[in-house]
Parts: sequence; structure tokens; C-alpha cells
Amino acid sequence: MSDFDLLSMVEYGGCSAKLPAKELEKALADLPKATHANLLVDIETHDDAGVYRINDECALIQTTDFFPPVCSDGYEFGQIAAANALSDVYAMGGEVLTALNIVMFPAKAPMEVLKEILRGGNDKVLEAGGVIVGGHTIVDDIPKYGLSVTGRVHPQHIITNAAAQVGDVLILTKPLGCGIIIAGKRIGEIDGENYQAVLNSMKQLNKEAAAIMQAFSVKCATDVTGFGLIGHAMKLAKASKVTLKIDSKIVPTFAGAMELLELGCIPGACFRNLEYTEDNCRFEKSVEYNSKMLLLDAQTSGGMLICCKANDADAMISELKKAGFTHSVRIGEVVERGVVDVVCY
Amino acid sequence: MKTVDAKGKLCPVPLIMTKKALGEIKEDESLKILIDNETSVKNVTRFLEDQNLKIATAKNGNVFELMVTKTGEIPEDISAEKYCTPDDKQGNYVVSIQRNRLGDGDEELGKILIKAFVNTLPENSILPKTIIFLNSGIFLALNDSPVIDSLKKLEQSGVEILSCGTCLDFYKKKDELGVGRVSNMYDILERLSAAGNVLYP
Repeated sequence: MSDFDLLSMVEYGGCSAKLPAKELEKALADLPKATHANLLVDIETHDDAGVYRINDECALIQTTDFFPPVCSDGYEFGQIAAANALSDVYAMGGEVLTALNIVMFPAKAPMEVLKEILRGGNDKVLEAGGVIVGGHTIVDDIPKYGLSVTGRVHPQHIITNAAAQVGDVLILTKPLGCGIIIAGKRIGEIDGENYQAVLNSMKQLNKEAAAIMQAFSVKCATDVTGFGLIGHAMKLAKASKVTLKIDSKIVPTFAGAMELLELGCIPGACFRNLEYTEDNCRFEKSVEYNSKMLLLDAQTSGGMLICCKANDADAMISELKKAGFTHSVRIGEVVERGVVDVVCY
Repeated sequence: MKTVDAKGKLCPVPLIMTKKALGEIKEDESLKILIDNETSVKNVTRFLEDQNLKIATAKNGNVFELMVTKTGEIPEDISAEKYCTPDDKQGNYVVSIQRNRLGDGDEELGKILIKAFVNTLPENSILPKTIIFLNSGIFLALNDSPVIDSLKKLEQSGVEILSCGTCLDFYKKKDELGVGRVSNMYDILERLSAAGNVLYP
């Protein structure tokens, strides 16, 4: 089993396998809008998950995410895909209740690999305090795995991407560059230690980050995944009707990512995200080309982008670091809405 | 001329090969890049454009041939000195086209005149630095525009061509843009305010 490499079966992995956002918007454009008195967060603001009010004390958070392998080992892939899917519940400030497996697997591949993927997913759901209640498996040439997750949040404590306030500080909890490093791994240009650091980060649940956000009464956050930091910042700015200013020199980066960019190892997803965001985002001339590409890199199971009250920022960063998000740092601020959604300097 | 054969390679390998080869060739030397998938063509083209290099693309069966010439480092900011000492061909004026016709009066005549205006631009002794298309002006920059060839010629001569993204979205024409690139009000305002003169035909 150990000689079976999941990466040998895919061209694009993780969140970089997303359909381009612009194409997706076209497909969704004319669909009737879902409205319901109990639907508290819908797709209108492109948030991380939908939220449905059950009663004054409880709202359900529902989300799903799945993708092709980002690494060779089944157990690690299962953990990463599950952590990534669970993250959307945390981005809404919630806790995990139940999950369903979503599996596509080639008929000819060894079943031991599938077993390992499912074991990885199960371990992460248990760590999240949830339970897997079932799933669905179909045959497909390219393996894919993920979860449909149900979580819970108090309706008064929902964290959305539409509640940023002018003056808030932006905190990012995990480094950027995992799409670049995964691409670098495919072409054999990344050393084992740097690669393992990225795998470990992708496996890390955002559970504690959600708890810390609630402890500081945060109202606005999103998790950084396939659209890159800039894409998710743009969605948050649009939904909140503000502009985000991001200091490209402070943004935390996985070791090895800048060297890969220097080599020209720029994943296709960076260009896709550039196209998606460039009408509404401004990169000052001081931002170097490779730094810009890093900010556009698609993340899998990335960190939280948190809008935090300025007075709480230092205390919150210190709590995040204690909880294992050691790269947490303030990367910018929320300002009055200007001509563009995001300004990088 | 050096050739990069990236046939059968997927992103980001064609880009890595291109960047490496660009580093190896001399100034003014040309590079031919062969790629057989459209995504990589798009990404490599965008990368080269972002380095302010000019690219010509031809398709030969399933293989795309990208031709690019290394033109060295691009000066950081041109505005000040450029305005004082314009070089022989490129000026520091901007043409802002806000309608798909020229002047008031009969609409038919207006369309004939704007066509003549744009078609004459490449022949002008000093070329504009930038041409900006706004509102119904964007129709002139679409694939089926009667002046598309002149605009492409201008672009090849180094004229920057920007179309307002909001306008393309409004008229639902973003997919039909035939020249230059989509821009935003911030960049457009920057070009207009940095210009020596702005022509509003």
C-alpha cells in the first residue's frame, strides 16, 4: 500500500481544483434566490456556510467541501480534506455536530487506500467533537474526498463575512503558500521538512480559533481557501461594504514558497484568482510580483482572516499563538469603503 | 532563436521553463515557446504581459506557438521625465473614448467619424500612451468592432488599452473584449490624472 501514490492520479488538487469563480457566477446568475424567514445567512454574501434558525437559542450551520488529493498518503489526505470541510463551520463561529462522508474512488485503486482516507476523516471529525453519521460513495477515475458538515451556533453569535467595522484590525492565523508548495512537490522542488510543515498546517483544525473568536465577541471573519487571501478578502469587503488594507510585507509565508515563485512555480490558481479579483483590488507598485502571486495563492484548509476590535488585537493574537496558531499576526486594517475592495501595499 | 518545448507539460511547468529560458537569452533576443494546453498558454501569456513583454501567439494544429522578445528592464515610473522629453513615437497623452460615436448630430455620421478617428490614430506621428474605453465606448474594443485591427496595431506598438470593467459587465460584453485588458476606475483615474493631455473625441 505504501507504494501507492494518490498524487499520481490527479492533475489539480485541493482547493485549486475549484471551478473559476467567474464561471460559477454565470451558472448561478439566473437561479431563483432562496429566501426564507429562518435563513439567516444565504449565498448572497458568498459566506463560508449557510445558517438556518431553529429557535432563539439555536441555528444550524450547513456546509460541504470535497476535492482531489493534495498529498500522496491516504490517511493524511483524509485528515486534510476533513479539516478543510469542518473549517467552514468554524468560520461562522460554530461548533461541529455531525458529518457525512462524500467519496469518489476509482474501482481499480486499492481499497486499503480508501480505508485510510476514511480513517483520516473520521479522526478529524472526532477531534472536532462531532460524529460521522453516514455518507455516499461513487466510482470515479479521480479520487475525491470531503464532508458535508452540520454545526450549531447561537443566532446572536453568528460570525459572518458581512460585519466588518471601519477601524477593525485584520488578523491572519495560518501562513500562505500551500498551493505553491503542493505544486512544488509535484515537480520535486521542495524539501521534505518544508513540505511536511504545510501538511501539518492543513491538518490543523480551526476549532480553537473559533472558540477564541467567540471569547473576543468577534462578529466578522472568513477562512482563507481556494480564492486566496485576496479573493476571500474581496468577498468580505464587498459583503461588509468596506475596504481592506493589507500589508503584503507582514503576511506570514510557508518556508520555501518564495523560492518556488522565484523559480516560476506559479500555480494556475494564482492566475485564476488574479483574473477574479483584479477589477476590484489594487496592488501598490511597492508590492513585488511574486508577493502579489503569494497573496493570490489558493489555500487548502487555510487560516482564519479575522476582523478584530483594535483594542483586543494583541490579546487575541497572544491567545491564538497559545492555541497553536503560532504564525498569527495582524496583516492590515478595515477602512471606509473606497473605489476598490482591497488595497495591498 | 531559442525554443522552449513545453508540449505535454501542465502548469506550472511551462511557466518555469519559460522563466528559466528568459533568464538565459540576451537582450533583444527572441524566444519561441511551444505549449499544447490552453490553460498554460493563458497563464504564461499573462505572466509575460505582467513583465511588460510583447507576445505574438500562433496556433499550429494543437500546438500554440508563443513568440516573445526580451526587452530588458522596464523603467519604474515614466510620467515625469517622459513628459519633459518625449521619445520619437510615444507621447504622454491619453485618449478617453466615452461613446461609440464622435460628436453630436446624426448617429450614423458619428459612428463613421469615430471609426475614422481610431483608424487614423496609428498613423499619427505621436502615439497616445493609453486609450481608455468607457460607457458605450467599450463596444469599439470588442471582437466585432470595425476598428479592432487598428487597436491591435496600436497595442503592438506599445499603446496601453484599457476598458472599464463595470461598463463591460453592464453591457454583458466582458467575454467579447477583443483588445487590451479590463480595468477599474482607480487605474483609469490614475492614467487620466498622470496624462499630459487627454483627448475626448
